[in-house]
Formats: sequence, structure tokens, C-alpha cells
Amino acid sequence: MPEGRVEFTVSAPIDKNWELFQNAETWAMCIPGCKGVTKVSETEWDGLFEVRVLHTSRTVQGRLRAVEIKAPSHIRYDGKGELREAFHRYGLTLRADMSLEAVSGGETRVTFVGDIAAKGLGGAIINKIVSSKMDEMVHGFEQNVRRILEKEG
Amino acid sequence: MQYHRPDSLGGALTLLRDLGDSGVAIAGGTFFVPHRRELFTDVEAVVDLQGLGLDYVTLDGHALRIGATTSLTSLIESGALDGGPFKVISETASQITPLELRNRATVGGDLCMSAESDLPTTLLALNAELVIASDSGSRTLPLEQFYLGYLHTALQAGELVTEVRVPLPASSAGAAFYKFKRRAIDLPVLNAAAQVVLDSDGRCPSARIILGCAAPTPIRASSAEQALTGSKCDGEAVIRSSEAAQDIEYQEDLRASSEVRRTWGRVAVREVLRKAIERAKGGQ
Repeated sequence: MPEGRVEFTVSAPIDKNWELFQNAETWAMCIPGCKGVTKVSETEWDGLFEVRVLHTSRTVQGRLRAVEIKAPSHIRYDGKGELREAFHRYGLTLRADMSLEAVSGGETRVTFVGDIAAKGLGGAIINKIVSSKMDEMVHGFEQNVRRILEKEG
Repeated sequence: MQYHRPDSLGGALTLLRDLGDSGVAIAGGTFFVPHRRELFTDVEAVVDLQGLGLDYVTLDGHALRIGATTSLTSLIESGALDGGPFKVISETASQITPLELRNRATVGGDLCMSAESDLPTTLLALNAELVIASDSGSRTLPLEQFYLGYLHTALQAGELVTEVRVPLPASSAGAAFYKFKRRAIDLPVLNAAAQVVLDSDGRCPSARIILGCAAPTPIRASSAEQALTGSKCDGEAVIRSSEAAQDIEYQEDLRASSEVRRTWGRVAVREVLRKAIERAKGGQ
């Protein structure tokens, strides 16, 4: 399962971080390629993402659900999605896990772990592509989170 | 779709810069054509590199220089590889099938578009580097730093690989290539290449062992290299090194499970080391 992991410290207090990460409408927009997130219920959100591979774009649609909530230090989202190609559709499983820790000076240590896995034999190729993009994706995520929280702070 | 065939490198680079993401460089087209509707849907123009004069294989004393648009057949038939330290390149290219593919596919295309091929594995074992040109000049990059992930290389927008340079190995070095595939026409399930240097006592001061298709990009079998380096290159050292090649996290996909690849990785490393050592002892 292709996994991306990033740890970083944000110059914003933990409650500001929690406000961002408990709402997928805000944090999911920090994922590079996210085109929109819609709230479905108090714990569910639908998202639309675009991924560039060579000279083409792939669309991923998914539904995320908050499954573990421990305010204000940990939240985990699980989900299912679908990646659409010209001729194929691949089922995906999604996971995003955020841990927050208050550190000195009003800063917060953020640990983000995300993974996306395609099912089936053909999905192995999708997983290889996702793996090759994961580092770029989580570091883009870090920059976008900083832009929001440190600007506000 | 527009078709451009520039007759100078500068012209090709300018075209690619102006076209941006809507343009793609091709030569043999053996990756682009079958994958056009999957991976190149935004492409509105192709820039054919075959008029740039990059079809050559020369030996200049310190290195072998291969032009990016050299076809695999031209590479095999080039006299520069015959019987010398680079014949493993010709042997590797000969195993890429079918013949029609070898006639069209180019060295640059094979390296840029198809990390799950055979030539990248051998050229990595030989410590090759790439010459990459862009509008702002050219740079050289070790092939080892080129593959960042599956279908993901260090090539930036507007850049072209123009040449592959393979350094002349020590006279006491030997190299070999081995591959597993299901049918003659298939992509490799796994391949391996090694270059082994021997000293006068028959010990190995340095070795490069590469596994292809073991992971999304070709990788060095570092544990296998360490197991061999400093040892006397006998049968026992070869077995020890090939056993060490099993500690890699082998990928699983539609062509083989990770367990099959792990077993074949051990066998492939054993075979390339036996042959490379034999060649090193016999002065290739």
C-alpha cells in the first residue's frame, strides 16, 4: 500500500491546527490536486482530486469518513474512492491520519500519514504511480497547511 | 495532432519550450504510440527527434558515447561494442524483443520512458551518465540519479536526453546481464546486471549489482554488493552475495508476486556474478 508520511512544526497553537484538521472541507483542500470537497454529514465528506501522470490527468472521486477522533491530538479518516481512466475504473481505499502535539512557543508538531491503494491486479500499476508521487504530494500538503495556519497566526 | 521534425537540437528545444505540456518528444515512438490514449491525452503536437543527428555510437578513449536516437539495432550492430568491455550492452539490447521493436526503439527513449526495461539495468551497472540539454545549456547526470519513481524521472520540462556516456571500465573488470521473462515478447519479470572488478589476488575491490523490475525503478542490490566486496571471488562468495540479494523489498504486480521475484532475484544475481567474474578473470 503506497504510504506518504510527513512531520513538520507549524507556528500556530494546537487548537488552530485542530480546527483545520477536524474538518475535511479545509484540510483536504491542502492536498495538491484537490479540486473540491463537499460535506455529506457531520463525519463524512466527498472529494474530487486530479492527478497528473506524464501528459494526462486522472480524476479521483472519494468519500472520507472520520473514524477516530481524539480532540485535539488525533484524527483518522478512512474512505473509498474511484480512479477514472479513459477505459478503466479502479476501486481505491483511502486513509489519512493526523497527530498533533503542542510544543513550546505556541507551536504544534504535525504528523500526517496518508495512503491510497488501488485494488486488483491492474491496480498494482496505479499503486506504483501513486508511490512515485507520494513524496511530492505530502510535501505540497505541508506547504499548504503552513500557508493557511501561519498566515492566520 | 501536429507533427514537427526539427533538423537542429536548438530548434527542437525551442519547439518543446513553446509547446509546453501540449508537446512531447518522440523518436522511435514505441512507448508513445501504444500509450497515447492512456498517458498522453493532453498532447497536441509531437516533436520527432530523428533529424537531429543523434544516431551514433563512438568510443573516444575514456568513454563510450551513445546518441539518444540510436536504435537498439544500430547499437547492436555497432562495431564499438564488439568483443570489448561494452559487449554486455549489445548482449542486453539483443534480448529486447521482437526484432521490429529493436529496429524502432531508441536508447534515449528506452531510458526515459521505460524503467522496467533491460537497458537501464545494464547501463546502471556500468555507471553510465546522461547528457541532458535544455534551452539554457546542458548538464550531465549520473543515471543512478535519473529514476525518481515509476514513470517519473529527473528530466525537467523542456529538457532532452541527448547522449549516454559509459565510462571505460578497469581492464580487470567484467560485466554480465541476465533476465527472466514469461514469453520472448514480454517485458522482463526481473533482470539483473553486474560489473565486478578483480584485483591481482582475485579479490573484489568493487562491484555494482543492479536489479531491474524488482521495484518500480531499477535499484542497486547494496547488500549483495557488500557481501562480495573485499572477498575472494569464488563460488562461495557468489552464493553469499546472491543470498544477500533476497533482503530487498520486491514489488508485486500483475507479472509476478514478490515471492517469485525474490527467488528469481537470488538466481539472477548468482548468474550475473558467475559470468562477470569469469569475464573479469579472462580480461572480459
